[in-house]
Amino acid sequence: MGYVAARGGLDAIRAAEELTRRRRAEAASPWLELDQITERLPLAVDRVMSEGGLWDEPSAARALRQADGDLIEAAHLIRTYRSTLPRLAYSEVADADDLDVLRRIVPAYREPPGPQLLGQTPDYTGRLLDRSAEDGARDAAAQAAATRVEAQHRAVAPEDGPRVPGRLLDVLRRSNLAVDRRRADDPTPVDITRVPARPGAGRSARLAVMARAETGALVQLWYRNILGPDNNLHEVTLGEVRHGRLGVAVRHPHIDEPVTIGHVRVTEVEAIEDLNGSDEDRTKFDVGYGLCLGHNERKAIAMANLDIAVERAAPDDPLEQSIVMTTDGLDASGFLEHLKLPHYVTFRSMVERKTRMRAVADEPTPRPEQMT
Amino acid sequence: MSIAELTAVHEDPDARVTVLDEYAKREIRRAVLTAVAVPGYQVPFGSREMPVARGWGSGGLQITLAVIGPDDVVKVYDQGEDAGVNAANLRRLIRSAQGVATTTDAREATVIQTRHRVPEDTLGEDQILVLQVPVPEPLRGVERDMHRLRQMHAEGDYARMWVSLYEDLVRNGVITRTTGYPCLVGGRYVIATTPIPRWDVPPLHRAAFLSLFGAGREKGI
Repeated sequence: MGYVAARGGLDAIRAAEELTRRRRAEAASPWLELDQITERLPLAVDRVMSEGGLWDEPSAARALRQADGDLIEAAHLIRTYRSTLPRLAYSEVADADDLDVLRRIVPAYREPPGPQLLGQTPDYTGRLLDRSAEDGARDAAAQAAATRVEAQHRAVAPEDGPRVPGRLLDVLRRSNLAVDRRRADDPTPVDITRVPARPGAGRSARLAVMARAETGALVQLWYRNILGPDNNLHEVTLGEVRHGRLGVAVRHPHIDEPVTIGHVRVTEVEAIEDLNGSDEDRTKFDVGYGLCLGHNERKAIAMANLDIAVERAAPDDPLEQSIVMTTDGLDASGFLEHLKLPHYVTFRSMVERKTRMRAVADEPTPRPEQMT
Repeated sequence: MSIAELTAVHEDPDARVTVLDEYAKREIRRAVLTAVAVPGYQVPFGSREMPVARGWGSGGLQITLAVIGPDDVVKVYDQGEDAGVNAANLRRLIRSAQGVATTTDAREATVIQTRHRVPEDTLGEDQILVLQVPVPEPLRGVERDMHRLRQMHAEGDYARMWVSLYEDLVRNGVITRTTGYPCLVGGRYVIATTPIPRWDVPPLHRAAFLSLFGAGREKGI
């Protein structure tokens, strides 16, 4: 057919790996230690844990380093690591009401149950690139640490004991202002790593997909529903935005009681939607839920908004399929990048059909037996 | 049994490169058995993340790792090329994970993992062909909604596929499908024949060998 298949083979792969290794070995600066990554780039580590679906900061840091800082590649390494591990047990259901908050804001309500706790956030800090000399910047940081605000310090000090505020949603429920969406038809959370999530899989599957989804994919889908051709989001107000620690318990194999085996940090969001549809209860609000591993408010907010948007969307609306099928970072990136693979035969078969089509078109009267 | 005892075996430094834990392999074999029992039906399975990216043969790789034993001889080729980069990479991975022998001769192989080609050699009953599938859904071109797709398969309602083939023929004088030519399997389910070229489809018909289609990203066998 005139195509010469370019052969790369194992030698080329080994050479490519060698180039990566050599660049690492020959870089002039010191090797990045794992604690540097977890302490200096904690939000990147959190994203890798969230999109990788595994809570382990050192492993996420290791993955980030190995992936040269590429978050999707790092999440891939974490997921691949998961594939090597046997599933020995499921944890007990964790009650998010037990979340020990490091940060908690309630944009909808000035005086919610429990405190408004700004915590650590860049939200109100001017985004100005600090161009001061390295030494000066480090001195300033050290000085700031020495004179830290007492209240801030206390907000996260473990000696205070857990900080577990109530919820705005409880106020709304008591006031009969919230639709009760607690339901019995989805009692056990779907494990999307064992049962592939498909449209119709239920809310727990959808939430699990979004909890592992790529942050940018959720943000894009959210914005598409605000300003794009889809129009499923309208008047969303955030009820809760929280970042905190949540205990994880498993049932002990001998004593058969839940035992707390550790803690994960999570971001949790409740999004209140004004019910304004003609067939909805206009006297009430409805609430969407978002929760993901690590500190990632952008992701959890998009997730909570999209959760309620799906609940309210018409049964034939494509939003659910978009969420469940298109937001996984590994799926999307892997498939996109597979376009780099050789497609010699695939393309040749396209050329063959075009040639055949032209041949048939050039024939004066194509007869059925030629139509193959 | 303690957690330490349970996990000890998985931390053996002398063990081969672990890609899939044994429970996953068992789960995949069960899905394969279902798929063989209901030819053409796409069996959902808990597709794991592989060391190769989704869309790079992760479905075929999972099937191969699940079905091979120590005595198997594996051939991996890509678009008809044993020396292609991805084939070389997958072959290296399978060998390091399972310690099996590999070959480039289709006649010697017991398991052949392929991307988008069917071997031109005549294969026998004791051989398995594992096809890497990027897009397993044959009806996606005529229907985007997955609820309706599922319903069409359940009811054997392939009218729109027939119509699309008919329209293609009427408009273009030939059927212009290049790869992934739709096939009705055993008179029941329509499948997409992966993107193998249309000239590779006839050898699959009532073949002596077993053809297993693995879609990792779309989580189906």
